[in-house]
Amino acid sequence: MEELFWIREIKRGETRYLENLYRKYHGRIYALCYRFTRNTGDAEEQMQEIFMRIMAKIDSFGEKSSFSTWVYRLATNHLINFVKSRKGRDDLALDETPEEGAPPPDTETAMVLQKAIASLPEGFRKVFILHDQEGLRHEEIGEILGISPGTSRSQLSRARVALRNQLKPLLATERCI
Amino acid sequence: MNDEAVIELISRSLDETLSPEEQARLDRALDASPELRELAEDLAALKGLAANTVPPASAGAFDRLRERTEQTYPRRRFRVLPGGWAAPALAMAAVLVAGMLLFFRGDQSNTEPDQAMMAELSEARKQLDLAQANFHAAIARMENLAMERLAQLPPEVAIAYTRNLEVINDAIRDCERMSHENPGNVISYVALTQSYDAKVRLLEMILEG
Repeated sequence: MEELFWIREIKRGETRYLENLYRKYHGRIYALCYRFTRNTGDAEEQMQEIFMRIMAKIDSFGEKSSFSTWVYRLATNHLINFVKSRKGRDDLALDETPEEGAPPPDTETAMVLQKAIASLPEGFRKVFILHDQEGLRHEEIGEILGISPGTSRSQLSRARVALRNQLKPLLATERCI
Repeated sequence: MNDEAVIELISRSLDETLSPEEQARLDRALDASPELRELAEDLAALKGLAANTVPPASAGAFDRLRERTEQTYPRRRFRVLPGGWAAPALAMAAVLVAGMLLFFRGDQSNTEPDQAMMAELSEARKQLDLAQANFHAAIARMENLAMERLAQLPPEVAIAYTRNLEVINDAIRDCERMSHENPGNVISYVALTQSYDAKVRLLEMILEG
């Protein structure tokens, strides 16, 4: 309800309430951006773009679905388009060494995992990130991606197996630790 | 049960969404197959890895965003919305501010006010006091109704509304203090009106549920 008040105020032009939305969502949006872009610089830039898109499109939020679902849908679509647009660069990025300022490495493991996730087919990747990394439920993912919860479940299962097949040696080590 | 069905069950068991019957079926399948057991252990390890940390965003990210939004979406000016509860209260607020501006502009004039001007100002002051009294009465009526409505709302919603009301009330108090301490400061009246506006809209939202 409090959030709805902020949204209505922003729709009326009271842009200062964006700060409230930012405080509430920036952590999750930034994490989502990082998981799609695998790069802090791109993640920050795309987070800004997503908030600008939220501002540009907030009038079209009809208050029928939850605002967080609407935000995730907008962010996911934006990030998919961004990743597609930098496809050539992205292929190179899979072989890049960790960027400066990247997370501390047992990051070796994190990097390998991120590369494997990036190589998944788009549908699998979206569901895996939203479910296993962002903690969304299949019902929410279904609403965001326009698929049924059952499809989300089955794509997740396939994504997990595909990743397991890629990461078998790494997972064997993890199991021993 | 084929392997694909078992894999689906393993995947769902990681999310703890299996029924007792499904869990029993899965346990039987895993007991019978070392390969499926290994797969289940790998998927559990994968799930643990997947929730890895994300490096922090740099400080000042919001300042950059604010700069961009202020450039792209400059704040709209205050406007009085027609209809509903807001109309009478905001109309009075507008009268209040307009009256105050007229009063102080007259008050600060360099020319010596003549009798007619003084009478006009005195009349404006009376109108102003009346408008302010009416405004506060309207707000008080809305506030009473809003309190009744808040009592019917779930506690977390009521708390959120109450917190917002407190913030707005603080802003109103600050603006009223500023306008009393510095009566020539027109900005304080505009800020006061905006605070009244925000309060009326919030009360209206509570009343509309």
